[in-house]
Parts: sequence; C-alpha cells; structure tokens
Amino acid sequence: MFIVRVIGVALVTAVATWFLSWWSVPFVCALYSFMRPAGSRPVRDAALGAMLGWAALLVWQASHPSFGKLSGALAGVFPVPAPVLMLVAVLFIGLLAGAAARLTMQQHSAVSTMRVRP
Amino acid sequence: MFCTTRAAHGALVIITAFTAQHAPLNAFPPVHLMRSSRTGSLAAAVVLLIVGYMGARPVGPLPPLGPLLDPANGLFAAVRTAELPAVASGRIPGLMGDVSITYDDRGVPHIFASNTGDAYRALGFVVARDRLFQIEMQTRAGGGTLTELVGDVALPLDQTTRALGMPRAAEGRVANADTTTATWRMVSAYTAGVNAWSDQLVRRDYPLEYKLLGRAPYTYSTVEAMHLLNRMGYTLASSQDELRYARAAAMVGKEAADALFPVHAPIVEPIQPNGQSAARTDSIALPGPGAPDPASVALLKALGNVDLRVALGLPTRGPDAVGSNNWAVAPARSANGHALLAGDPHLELTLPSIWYEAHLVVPDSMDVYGVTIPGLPGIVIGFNRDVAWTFTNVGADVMDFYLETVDDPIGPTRYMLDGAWQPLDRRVERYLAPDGTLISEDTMRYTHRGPLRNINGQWISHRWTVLEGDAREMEVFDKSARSTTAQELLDHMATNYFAPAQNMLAVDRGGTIAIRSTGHYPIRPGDGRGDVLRDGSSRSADWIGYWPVSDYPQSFAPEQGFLASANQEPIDPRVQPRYLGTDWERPWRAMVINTRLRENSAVSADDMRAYQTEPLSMRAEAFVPAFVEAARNQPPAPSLEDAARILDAWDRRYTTDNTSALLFEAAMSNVTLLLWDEFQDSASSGTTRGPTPSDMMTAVLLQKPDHAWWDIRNTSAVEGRDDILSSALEQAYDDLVERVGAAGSAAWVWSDHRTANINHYLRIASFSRRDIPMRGGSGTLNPSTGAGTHGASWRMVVEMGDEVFAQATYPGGQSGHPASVRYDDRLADWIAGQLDTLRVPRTEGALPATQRRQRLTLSPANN
Repeated sequence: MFIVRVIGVALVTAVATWFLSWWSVPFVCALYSFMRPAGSRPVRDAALGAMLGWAALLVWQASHPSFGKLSGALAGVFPVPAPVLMLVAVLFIGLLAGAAARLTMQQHSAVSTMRVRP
Repeated sequence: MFCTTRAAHGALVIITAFTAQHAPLNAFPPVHLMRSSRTGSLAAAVVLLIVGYMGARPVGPLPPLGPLLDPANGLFAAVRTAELPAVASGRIPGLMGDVSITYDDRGVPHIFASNTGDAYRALGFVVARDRLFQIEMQTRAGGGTLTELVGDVALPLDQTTRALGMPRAAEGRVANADTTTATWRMVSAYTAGVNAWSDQLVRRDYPLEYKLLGRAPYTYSTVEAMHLLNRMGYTLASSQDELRYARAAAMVGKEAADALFPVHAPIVEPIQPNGQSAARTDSIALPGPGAPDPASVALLKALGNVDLRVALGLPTRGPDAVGSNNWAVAPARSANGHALLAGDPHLELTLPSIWYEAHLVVPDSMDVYGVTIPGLPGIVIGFNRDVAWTFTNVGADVMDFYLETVDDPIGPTRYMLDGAWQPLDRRVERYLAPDGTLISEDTMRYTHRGPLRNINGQWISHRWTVLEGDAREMEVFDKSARSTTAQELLDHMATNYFAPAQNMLAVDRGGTIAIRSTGHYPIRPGDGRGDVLRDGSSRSADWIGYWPVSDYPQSFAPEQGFLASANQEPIDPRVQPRYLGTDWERPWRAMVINTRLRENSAVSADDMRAYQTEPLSMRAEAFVPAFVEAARNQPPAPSLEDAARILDAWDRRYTTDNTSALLFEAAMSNVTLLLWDEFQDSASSGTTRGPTPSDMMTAVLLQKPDHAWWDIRNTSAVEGRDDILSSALEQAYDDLVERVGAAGSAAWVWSDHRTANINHYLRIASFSRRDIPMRGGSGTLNPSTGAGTHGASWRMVVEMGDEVFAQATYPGGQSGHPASVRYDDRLADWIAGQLDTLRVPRTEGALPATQRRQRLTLSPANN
C-alpha cells in the first residue's frame, strides 16, 4: 500500500505541476496529509511522492534528443552540471512537499482531537 | 510570471499561516506530546517558508527556484522547444487568408501568402517563433527600457540611450505617422504577427533566457521597429570625437593637427570610380610638431579634457570598429555574363545572429529573399527575381555638438539663442524594474537642435540625423523588395531613407551595377566642417539643409565594369571636396577588392566568395618592404636580421597557420608608439592622452624618411624612418621571443593569437562561441582585430542570371534556442569561408521534398 500511496501522490503532483505550476505541489501534499489515508505516514508519502513525480517528469525531459545540448548550455549558467541541478529540483520539491504535509498533519491532529473531546 | 511567483509566495504563506495558527487550547493533546509536535510543526513551518520563499522570490543572485526548477514548465522544459515541430499551425488576428510556410533544410522559412499584409504578419510570427528574446532585447536596447527586462544592471545603458534622445525620436515618429499608408499597415501587420506568437505562449514554451531571468515576454508594439532602426543608427554612428582635433592641436599645434587629421584620406581609392587604375597617394604638406595651440588648450581645460563621445556613451572608432565590404561586377567582366554582387556587412558578432533569413512570396506582388533584423518589418539585405542589394556603412559625420549658454548651470530651463532666452523642452525619463517599481528618474532637456547634456559643467547639445527621420523610413524595405531595377531601388532609398547613411550597392538582371552612398548629409555653415564643437548661442551655427541626392557619391553602370566599397572615403576629393566626414576608414580593404577585380576580367560567383575571406593585407604590402629595407640599412644584429628574414619571407597573408603576422602586428604597434611619441602625453597642453594618426598617415610618412615626425623627442640623437622601423621590429622580435616562444615556432601561429568571439546577448559563456580561429587581420577583407567581437555578420554572393543563383551564410543559425541544432549550425562554414546555396522556390511545390523540413500553416484568428 505504501508504494501505491507514493505513486498516487507522484501522479497527482506531476499532473498538478504540468497544468498549474510548482507551487501546486505543497497544496496537493497538504491536502493528502489532511485526508490522511488509513495506515499512511503522510509526511513520508508526500515527500517521496512529490520527489518521484518530479523525477519522472525530469527523466521524461532528459529523454529528449536535445537534452544533451541543453545540459551543456546550462552547465555554463550554473556552477553545477545538469544532473546535479535535477537532483536539487527533486530535493527542493521534497522539502516543500514534506514541510507542507507536516504542518497539515499537525493541524489535522488538532482538529481530530477537538472533535473527539466532549 | 511575476504574477505567478507572487501568487505562489502568497499561497505558501497562507498554508503556513492557516496550518500553524493556534487552535483552541483544549484541542491539543497532552502537554508532553504537544511539545514535540509543536517543535516539529515549527520546524516544518520554517522549512516551508524558507523553501517557499526561495521558490517564489529571487535570493541574491539566484532567480526564483520554483519556476526555474519546475520540470514541466521551467528550465528543463526548454528541451521540448529546441526544435520546430514537423507540422504546426497557428492563428493570427487580421490575417486575410491562410499562409503556408515551409522551412527548408537550412531552417529558412519560405512564406507563401496571398497578399502583402499576410506575408508581413507571417514574417513577424516566424521571426518571433525563432528569436523572440532577441527581438525584446534589441528593441529594448533601442528604447532604453532594458532595466524592465534585466533589472538595474542595465541602467547605465538605458540612461545613455535616453540621453541621446533615441526613444523620444522613435515615439515622435509613431505619433506623427500617417496610419493610413501602406507602410504603416506593413508595420502593424508585422506587429500583429509577433504578438500572435508570443500571446499564445504558455510558460513552458518561453525561450530559455526568459526562464533564466524569471520574466515573461513583453508585448511588441509598432514603436519597437522605430527603436530598432535607431539602435542601428547608434551602432553605426562610430566616428572620431569632435574634440579630437582640439586635442591634437593642444599637443602639436593647429598646422600639424590639420595635416595629421585631414578631412580627406591621403590614400585615395574612392567608392565612386575616378578613372584611376590604382590607389592614389596624394602629396600633402606635412609640417612637423609645433607649439600647443592656446585656444585648444583652453577649450579642453574648460571641458575637463573630456572625450565627448565617450561621455555620451557613443561608440568610438577603435580596433573593433565595424567595417563592411561590398562589390559588384558587370556582365562584361563576369565569367557567366551575368551581374554579380557580394556583400558582407561587419557588425558585432552575436548569438543568436543579428540576422534572420527569410523568403516571402506573394504572387504577382513580391518574391524577396534575404535577411531581416528580428524586430524590423522587412528584408534589409537580399534579392528578388530582378535585383540584389547590400550595404556598407558610409561613416559620414552626421552628428554635431554645440556648446550652449543656459540660464542656470545646475537646473537650466532656458538657453540663449541670438541674444534671447528660449525655453528648454523637458522630458522626464523613468527607469523601471521588471516588477514595475521605479529604479531611477532623469530629467532630459532639449534645445531646438536636440538633447542637452551637462558634461563637466558645460551644457552641450547635439543634433543627429538618426533622430530626424520619420516612419516612412520603414517603407524602404518594402520598396526594395518590389524593385525591378537597380536604379529604381536606389531611387526609392534616396527618397525615404534617412539614417544611418549606407553605401547601397545594387545589381539587376538587366546587367546594371550601381552604388549610391545614401542617407542624409547635413550642410553646415562656414567651412562646413562637423568635426568641431560649435557655439550654440546663435542660429548661424545650425545646419542649413541637406545635400541634394545629385551630390551624393554614386555610380551607375561604370565603364570600369565593377564597383567596390569598404567604408573608405566614398568620393575623390578632387571630384567633390565638400566636407562629408573625417577620419575615413583606412583604404586597405578597398585596395584588395579593387586589385582583385581589376586583375580578373572573368569573375565567377566562386571568386566572389573566395575574395570575402581573402587574407592578403595591403597594409602589410605597404609596410613590410620598408621594415626589411630599414633592417638592412642598420648595423648587423642577430635578432633584427632574423626578424627581417621572417617578414621578407612572409606572403603578407593572414592565414590561420602563418607565423609572421604576429611579428608584423607587434612591430606596427611599436612604430605607432615610437613615431607618434608627441601624442603620448603633454604636460604643457594639460592633456594626458592624445589621438593617434591612422596608419594611412604612417604610410605617407614612409616616403619622407628624414621627416621631423620620425624623431623621438626625448633622445639626443635625431632618428629617421629606418631607425624607428628597425627599432620597432627588433623590439617586437625580442619581446615575442621572450613572451611567446622561439621565433617562427608553433607558438607564433596566428590563430592562437587572434580569434573571433561571438557572445550571447546575455554574455552567458555556454551560449556563446569564443576563441574561434580566424583567417584575417587588421586591414584584410575579413578583419580579425581587437577583442574579436566584430566581423562579417552575413556573407552573400548573388548572380543575377535568368534564374537567380545565391549563396550565403552567417555566424550562427536560424534558431535562438541554445539547445537547438540550428543555433550555430552555420558556424563551421562561416569559419571556413564557405557559403550555402540558397533555396529560392517560386512556389511551395517547387521546393524539392528532400529540402523540406517543417511546415507551418497560419490561419485567421477569427476562423
């Protein structure tokens, strides 16, 4: 189930990134964390899912025949090679997704506690 | 994009705020559990805020990381737009019918439209498709709004542009334009085409540069074309400073300054044929150095010894000065009996290239092929089925400076004219950041002549033909495209073209070859000279008109059967002594072309191509024998003898592998320092740096071996020509052996020392191509000088037979995308001096399938 949940988050974040933008990812992960599917660890699922979603998109871009030239061109702009830049992208979104999920989880716990107390 | 990043930042703050807000105390778990979860939440909130902020906003030199790293819309998405799709379609508002565009195997779009307006709409669309960022950069450079794209780093450039009055002039042209004319419809159609492309872009499709800058494309408007034309005027405005003469006179006296910096070139090889069979060196009186001229000393002191052009940010003529060549051969002297034309305008080399190649076909109306400047609606240089044309810069003096008397030295509101105060026009220039905030503000003042500037406490205005044209100038590109004879084309140009003045060369299918130095040349009062600072307090200093076209340097179907221009003085002063400019480009390139064309009575298109990169130097031909002779006249010295042997054995060709040119150039530099030591500094004149006479003047002095100029001031001996030449050569040799390596070794190979450097507009190294080995040197047809940032921006050879045969290339490629194979695919041919055969189909079906690559169909937007 863990893998299914992560892949699910990955799919949704990839689609959200494609149609909206990068900033949609923390919203998706916040929502996932708020829903907290049974047996899930929302922070871990959201972070890994978002990273997987972006990694998949990056791999798809890297499969393009022009990627080598683009990679070479970008090497002169940034102090790191393109693969490192991709790794930074994945870490960036993982941090963003995990933090959003963590915050939402805390809120969710508070709301749940509030509901069960007399 | 800014809206997006702002929204993203706001959204992240909202998440953090909502989720981190304190719930009612009774909603929380027991305290010991709360502590750890609250700490975790706090950490998560901090991470979210920091990472979110870095995602949405620039931090230090970093752009916002979110849109940059976004794999679907950011940097990496640019890979999807590197190449044009095989088949595509688009819509443009106002299109009358479908337009079919086929890209050939060189990436050139062939536009087939049913009417001219549609053709120009399509041209705007396809140029924007390949070069959108370049359009914005170049037009913003002309409009002084680069800060709105790249931020305050561009503020000095924008301030220069606005201080020169260029944006005001462009806006004036648009405001005064007759919007009912065909010209205006053409400009509007092009504008619609550019915007049709950029409007349909989503962020993932933005050119890579926009993603790096974190910006979105602007909306192109009709004034942009005017900005671009002004920008070309600025680029080609290089000339010597108005105070150069004063600076020289302050050091060596008026007589010597007059002689060393003459109005007319001493070596005469004009554009308008003068019946000579070789270049003529005029005998000139050459007085030796005299006492400093007190009036010039006083003037320079009053102005703080400023260089006016540098103070105004104008390009100055230096080792990287633009220099272009064109020439034509009449059928009687061509191998195939057809008129031939060659042209290679030299400009700053950029990636993407300044030029974009296109072919526009409108049945029974227009069939034109050539290069356009992205952002300019029309083919600038090219050919149709009947006529071919190309330009070189005239280099005429079309900008004058006036010392004005103002009512307040700090914030003037009036200036004195004929004894009465006149109000100054004022215009507030506002420089905005990309987010629209104000970076800076200037108040510009204008006299009736033009912009007024405070330079070291003196108020100086300038008048410049570039600021005085009108929107009809745009018409010349359309008229050229439709011309049927060389005469018709040049007459259209003479009627409407204003600036920058160009040596316009045209050939037609009927066999006529013709050239006219076209632009507007001011007639000045008094001695007519424009290379002096004039007193602005009287209208009598003003221009009193423009030259009549009949007086322009020109030639139609000359008897000699060929024409050539290389920025040299266009007309023999014995034919037309009137002041047109000064400090003319040295004639070395013109001499090479004319020598080749005189000696070849059956010129082929391939000969024309080969001449464009001819490495022979007439400058070396003039000086090398003098060096060798001087060395032989000196007492034996091993290094001098070896240096003379190397130069004597040299064929005077700047081939990439030669090991002699380096020695020659070093020796020439030494000659300049030793010969013109009078201009190194002068405490008595109060100046610290003087102008240097051109090597044309040095060549003249070679004939006067004992002239006073050869003597070095601070030695007791009296030096002559041979002393200076041999000393310069020996020093150069010893210095090179010490710095570079053994004489004639691989370390002396020319291509290791002079290279071409083609920079991207943002100077990004990996988007640029640098250290390109070049064949050519100072004064050759394919010059490689200075920083190597200037060169042949386009090379074209056209043979006007029954069917037009054309070859061309430029240093770069059609695409502006650094990851495209078409970004620099022409570079190898350009380096090798090779040209591509151009595809010129009359109809869409006439382009062979093997030469077709992509197809684009444009339809009306309201269909």
